[in-house]
Amino acid sequence: MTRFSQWKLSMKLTVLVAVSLAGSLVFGLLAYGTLDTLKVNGPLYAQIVSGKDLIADVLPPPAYVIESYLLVHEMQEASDPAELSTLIETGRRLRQEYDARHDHWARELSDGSLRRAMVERSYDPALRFFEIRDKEFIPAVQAKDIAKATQLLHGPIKASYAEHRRAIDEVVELTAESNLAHEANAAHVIQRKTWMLFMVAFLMAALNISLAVAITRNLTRRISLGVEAAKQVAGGDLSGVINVDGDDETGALLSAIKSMTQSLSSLISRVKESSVALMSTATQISATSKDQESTVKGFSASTAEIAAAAKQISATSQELLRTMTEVRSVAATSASLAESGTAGLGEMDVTMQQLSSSTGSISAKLSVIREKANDINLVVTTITKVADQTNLLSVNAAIEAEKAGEYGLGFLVVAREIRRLADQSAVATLDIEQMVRLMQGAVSAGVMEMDKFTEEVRRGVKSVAQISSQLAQIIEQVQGLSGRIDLVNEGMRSQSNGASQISQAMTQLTDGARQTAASLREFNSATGSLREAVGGLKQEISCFTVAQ
Amino acid sequence: MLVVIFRVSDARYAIPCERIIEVIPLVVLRAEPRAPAWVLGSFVYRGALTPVLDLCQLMGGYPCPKRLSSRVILTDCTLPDGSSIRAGLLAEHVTEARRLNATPLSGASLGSTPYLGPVVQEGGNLLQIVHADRVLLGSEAALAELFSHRSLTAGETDRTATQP
Repeated sequence: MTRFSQWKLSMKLTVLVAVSLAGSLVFGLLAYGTLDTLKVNGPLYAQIVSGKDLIADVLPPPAYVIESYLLVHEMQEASDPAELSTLIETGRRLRQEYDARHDHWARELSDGSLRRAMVERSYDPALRFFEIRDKEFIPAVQAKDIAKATQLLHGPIKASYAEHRRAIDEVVELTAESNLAHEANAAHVIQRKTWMLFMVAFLMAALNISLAVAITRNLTRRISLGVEAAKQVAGGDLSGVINVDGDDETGALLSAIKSMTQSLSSLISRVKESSVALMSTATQISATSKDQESTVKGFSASTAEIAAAAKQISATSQELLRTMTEVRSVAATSASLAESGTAGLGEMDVTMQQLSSSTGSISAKLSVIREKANDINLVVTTITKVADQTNLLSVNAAIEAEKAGEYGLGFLVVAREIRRLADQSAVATLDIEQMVRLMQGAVSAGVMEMDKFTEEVRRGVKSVAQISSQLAQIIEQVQGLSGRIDLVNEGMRSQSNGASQISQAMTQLTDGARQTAASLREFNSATGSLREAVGGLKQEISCFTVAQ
Repeated sequence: MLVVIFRVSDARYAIPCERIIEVIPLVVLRAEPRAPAWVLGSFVYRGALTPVLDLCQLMGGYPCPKRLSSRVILTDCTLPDGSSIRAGLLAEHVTEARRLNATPLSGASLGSTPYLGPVVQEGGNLLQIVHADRVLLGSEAALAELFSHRSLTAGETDRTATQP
């Protein structure tokens, strides 16, 4: 087996083809020998046919009625009834055999002249022969009617037999002909098949050899390609290009090598890039750490300043605390002032309310006066009417007195007096009217003034209420202020505390900065060793060639 | 001579008392259809229908204001056909009956109105006499139209009514 696995692939394939060719040659020779032994007119065929010929030669043929014909003659000459019955029995058996063979050939033979001769032309006279024998001849023989039997034997029986014999001869002739034709056909078929066998064998051999050659060439070419590529990769050259043609196992192998090369190539190029980036990063880190070192130094100075500032804040907030206490006392004073102001406003409000009610009563009284003036007006009107009537009366009285002539003279004087009185009363009523009108005007003006005054009082009450509420707000806010001042105080105190805490924290921070500077120095040395390591990596990778 | 004094637009006039029956206050009047503006309407005086004429409208051309001193002077008026009817004359400031002693002023008066009489100086004022019975003699056509349909009956009732 070790020897076999050390063989080359082309050698293995050649051996395989040679073995299969030899096998097929042996198979073909065996098949030819078998054919030659078993062919028609061959030795085996000749033996079988001679056996059959022997049986046909010695056996009386059941499909040919010659034996029955012989038996009829024997029946005619038989004298003993026992011998006759045996003969009759034999005749019946022969007829059954004939019928069986006839049925057999009626089934077996195909349509054609042979079937017509055998099944129709030979069967009809045979049937007639058997019918005459069984129904006429045998009763005649049994009845010892020799004359009739002889007459039948030489008459219809002989004729039927002769006809049957002719048909059988024809059958024999036809069968011999067809046998000859079958034999010739078989020989021809065998000759042709043999030739075809040789042809197929030759073709198969040629195809085998050419296929083996093609497969060998294909396989070895691809594998040598893969081997070449692998050798390149081993040597560090990753820039080679591999052509993959085909999906079979060797193709898969090639494509696997190709993808392997590609991924290796990309990996190497990425490693190269990364090492460059790593180098620059290391440089940056070292620069940054130097920066940080200087920053830390500045940082510690700043923390010292901050600590001083925090101390100042603490002092300032304590001062502020004192100021806030003063503010608080001032606010309390202003709150008490506002409260006393509210009380004063309350008194003022009460006074205003009283004023409002008194103006209301004055208004009511003024309206009473107006009503009275109206009453006076009514009276004046009445007086005016009376004066008018009086005047009219005086005029009419004067007229009547004039008409009465001398008798009316005295009456005329009376009438004149009446008129004078009426005129005076009219003047007086005019004066009263004037005065009442003046009074009414004054009352109206007073009412208007009172209304205005009431309005103003109402407004005053409203503004007092407003001021009062504003004062209440002020008080509230001042009281709230005191709470807020407490809050501010609290805040100040906590600020002062916070400032001292900040100062402490700053001291701690300075210590921390010092420590940070030390650790940065360590970090710097670490960065130097990182750079050295990256340089080594770069050198290692530079032995790989990568396609650009 | 006793006269009753009245005014028409600041001018003072006087009606002699012989012709005046009575001075009465202005009462509610029944309006006269199709009458001229100076006929105010009618009222019943002592059982007789009596027309009231507006002297302010007739003489001054303005309606008489309704005041207490605006009064109706009842008088008998002569119609153009010679018959007379009783009528009321509404005038302003009828408050005084006065005795006139002065004589009428000489000189021609401008108007030819039939009812305006002579002008008299009384105190510092001028007074013109108005003949109340001639008031209806001025505008014949209008009067004829107004009174033609009832002059007879009115005249009859007037006379019967004034007899007592």
